[in-house]
Amino acid sequence: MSRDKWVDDVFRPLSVAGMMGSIALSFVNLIRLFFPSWNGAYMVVACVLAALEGNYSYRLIRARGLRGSDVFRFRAIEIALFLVLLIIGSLMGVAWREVWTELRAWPQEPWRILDLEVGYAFVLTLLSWTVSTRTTYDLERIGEPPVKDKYYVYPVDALTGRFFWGGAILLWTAGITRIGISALLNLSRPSVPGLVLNVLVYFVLGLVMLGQIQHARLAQRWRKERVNVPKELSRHWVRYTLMFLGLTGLIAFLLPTGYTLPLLDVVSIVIGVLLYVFNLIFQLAVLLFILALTPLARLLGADLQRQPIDPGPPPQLPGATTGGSAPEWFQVVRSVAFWGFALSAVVYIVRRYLEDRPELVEGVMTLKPLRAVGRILLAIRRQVGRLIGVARRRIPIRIRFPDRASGSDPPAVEKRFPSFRLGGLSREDRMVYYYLSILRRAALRGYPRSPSQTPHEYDAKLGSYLPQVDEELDRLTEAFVEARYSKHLVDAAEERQVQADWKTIKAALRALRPRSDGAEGEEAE
Amino acid sequence: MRKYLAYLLLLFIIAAILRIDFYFTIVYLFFAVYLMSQVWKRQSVNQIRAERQFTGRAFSGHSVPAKLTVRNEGWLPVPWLTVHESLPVELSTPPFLRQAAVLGPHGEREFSYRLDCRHRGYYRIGPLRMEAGDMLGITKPIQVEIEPEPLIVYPRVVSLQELGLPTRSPLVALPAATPLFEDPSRVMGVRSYRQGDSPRRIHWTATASTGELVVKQYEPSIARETLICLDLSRESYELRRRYTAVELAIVVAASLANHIIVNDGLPVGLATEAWDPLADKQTRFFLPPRSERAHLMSLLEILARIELGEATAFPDLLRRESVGLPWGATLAVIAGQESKPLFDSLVTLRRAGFAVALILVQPTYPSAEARHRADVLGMPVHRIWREEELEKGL
Repeated sequence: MSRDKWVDDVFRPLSVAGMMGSIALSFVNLIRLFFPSWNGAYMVVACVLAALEGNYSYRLIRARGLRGSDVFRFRAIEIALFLVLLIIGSLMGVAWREVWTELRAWPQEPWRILDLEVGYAFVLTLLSWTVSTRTTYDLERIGEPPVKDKYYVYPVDALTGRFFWGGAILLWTAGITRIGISALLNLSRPSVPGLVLNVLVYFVLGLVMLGQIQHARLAQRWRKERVNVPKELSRHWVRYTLMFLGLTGLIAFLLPTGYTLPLLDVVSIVIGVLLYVFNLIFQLAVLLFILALTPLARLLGADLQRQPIDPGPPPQLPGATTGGSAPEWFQVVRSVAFWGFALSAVVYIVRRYLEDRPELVEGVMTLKPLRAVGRILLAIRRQVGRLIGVARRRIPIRIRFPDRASGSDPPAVEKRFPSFRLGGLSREDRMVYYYLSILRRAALRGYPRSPSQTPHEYDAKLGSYLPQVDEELDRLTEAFVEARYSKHLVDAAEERQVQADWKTIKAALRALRPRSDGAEGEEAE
Repeated sequence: MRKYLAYLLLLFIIAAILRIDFYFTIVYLFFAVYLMSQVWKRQSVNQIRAERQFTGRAFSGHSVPAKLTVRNEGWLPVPWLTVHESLPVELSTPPFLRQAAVLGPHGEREFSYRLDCRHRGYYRIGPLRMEAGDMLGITKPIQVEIEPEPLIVYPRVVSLQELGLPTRSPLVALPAATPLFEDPSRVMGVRSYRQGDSPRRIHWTATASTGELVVKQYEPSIARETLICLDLSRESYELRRRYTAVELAIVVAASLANHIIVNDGLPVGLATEAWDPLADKQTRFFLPPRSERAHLMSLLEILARIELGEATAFPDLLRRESVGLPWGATLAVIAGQESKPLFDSLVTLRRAGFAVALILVQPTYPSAEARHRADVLGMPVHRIWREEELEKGL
């Protein structure tokens, strides 16, 4: 099994260690809120080193083929070594004389060996080491056949889950450290600006690791399925992953975060209004109920003293947040980017969701109200279309859009490419577009293709009016027929040629004298 | 994917509770990763085009080179793509082409393979399945499929000289002494003048050179159409030797057709009832005799793809398909074994004025009774069993 040594020996251990270090840093910062005198750097370094050690030791055990009690002894020595090193680490930076005094005190007071700081560091180190070992275990078993076990977790799922949960814990601890525990319940506090470096490091490394895991998984699968893998794939994978993450990172950092909190405030306003309405309805219902019971109570002789119903003051609506100072151009750009991105994301997700579930769309569209809405929208669309038609007729002919009623071919272009970008089409579609474009232009000049004419017949006919571009017309027609009716792919050179022909024919058509009789003239001939 | 979205929601809740701006950036990052993965994956898959290039017709024993071109027509690179081309097991080992590829913007990859046409048949090359996905494994990969394309491998064709049959009229044993009609455009030879011969038949050049009167002998002008009747009903072939016998019968039919059209330039047709894998049902094939090359290819295409069919009444087929043939046409009947109903039908056809030849594809020689009956009818009977016999001649 060929594996990339650089990935196994350097990239993975360092990434896992970096991620563990990021989490450890957040925990250390949190604990230092209570014990500010503790040495945080030493704990973080210990966690990073333990994570590295966990990776290498696991692979060493596998390489040596250790089993049973040998593994147990190995692990016990590792843990003992951690403890010793942590104790030694805790004495670093202390004067030799004090160290000596401390060492002499240990036989009389053994609890001084493991004080609270060392204990905390030991727990953190053990956690880091365990997670790193487990991660290495999961990384090593990517692609292995699954075990028949109810509780079996696929390695990729385990790794992804660990990354996600680690991230959530990191966000929580780092966040609490930053805002303070007392401020946690105060949701009206202002947002906290600034970069949280260890969070950034964790997520960037984690996403890069996800890319690497996906590559490893695919590589294993391809190996099993005897798929030939080109050598350059790994190189391109790294490049494209970094490109992808760079792009998404750019989007994430460009988008303003200031909109999200007001958005939440808007949500809370909506919820407040809804609660207010429900409260009002409930009070009205109670009032009606009491009014209904009043005559009955009188009949029974009850002495009802009218108590004015006091619905109480209505809840105060939360005030809308004010915008602050006038936005500068950059803020405007960011705002536009944010809302553009958010809207496109929502539209995209909804569209994909509905595309994947056509039965849902069909089911929903059978509902009468929706059908009525659909009919209304259709009527509006027709009306707008009619208005546009009227406007077109009034616009001077020089800037007039293609008239739908003037022939059979112009609509073909629009039907086929209702809203398009030429670059967004495939080469074959572009070939078709070039041809249909010429048909449309020729029809506007009064030389339409009749529905019964084949492309070649029309080519001969139009060629008689445009003898100077006869060859170009032949080539364009051939290219259209091939693109439209064959499965052949069009190459770049061919497309360039056809594009050049298209431009030449367009120029020739512009120079052609318009014929006013149009289709009628053609039929008469 | 659900986990990912749930996680995104969790991150959002944490960010909303803690109200740290940077956390929203992390949420955006995850959201952008999800959305970009989806968009990238779909966009790149939509822009992939694939084309298969190979010759759709081949003869048995040939090797056909095939080329598969996969092209990315978009500006977004395709980070990974697996190509799985299914190939018929009879033509390729292993019966697939599996390749992983990476396609840059407007990138293209070509994959080549060979199809060893060891056995006649109608094959489907493909379908081609392509799978592409994102780089982080967040979204499910998308699969696209390209339709299969047919490849027809014609059966082996052996020259009739090797079979030892007469080349001009391979199967027809016409009574040349008393032809009913003669074709004056086809001079067969000369003979001495006999009393009663028309002066128009005198071969003056030959008379001058030989010094005696000789007259031209014309070829008989009765119909020279041949209909190959191939029996492919299941019960006509012994179970143990069925595969070999059927394949040999088809080779014989193809060889006959090829010889008659290519060498003699005479029309030949085909009548059979067999299983058609293209239509996926039992089909009756009847190609009326014609002498064009294109017709030969059509005939070979049918012979390439047909397989042993259900039990059918072959004698009935013979009678039915011979109805439209002109008087004197030849019927080359290829069957798996002799049988009384078959002989009865052949007798009927012989009496109806057709020339009939029987080719039995079986390991044993025809029985004495069958040979006797054939001799009485003036009907040649051939037996073929091994490929070597076919190549060496009878």
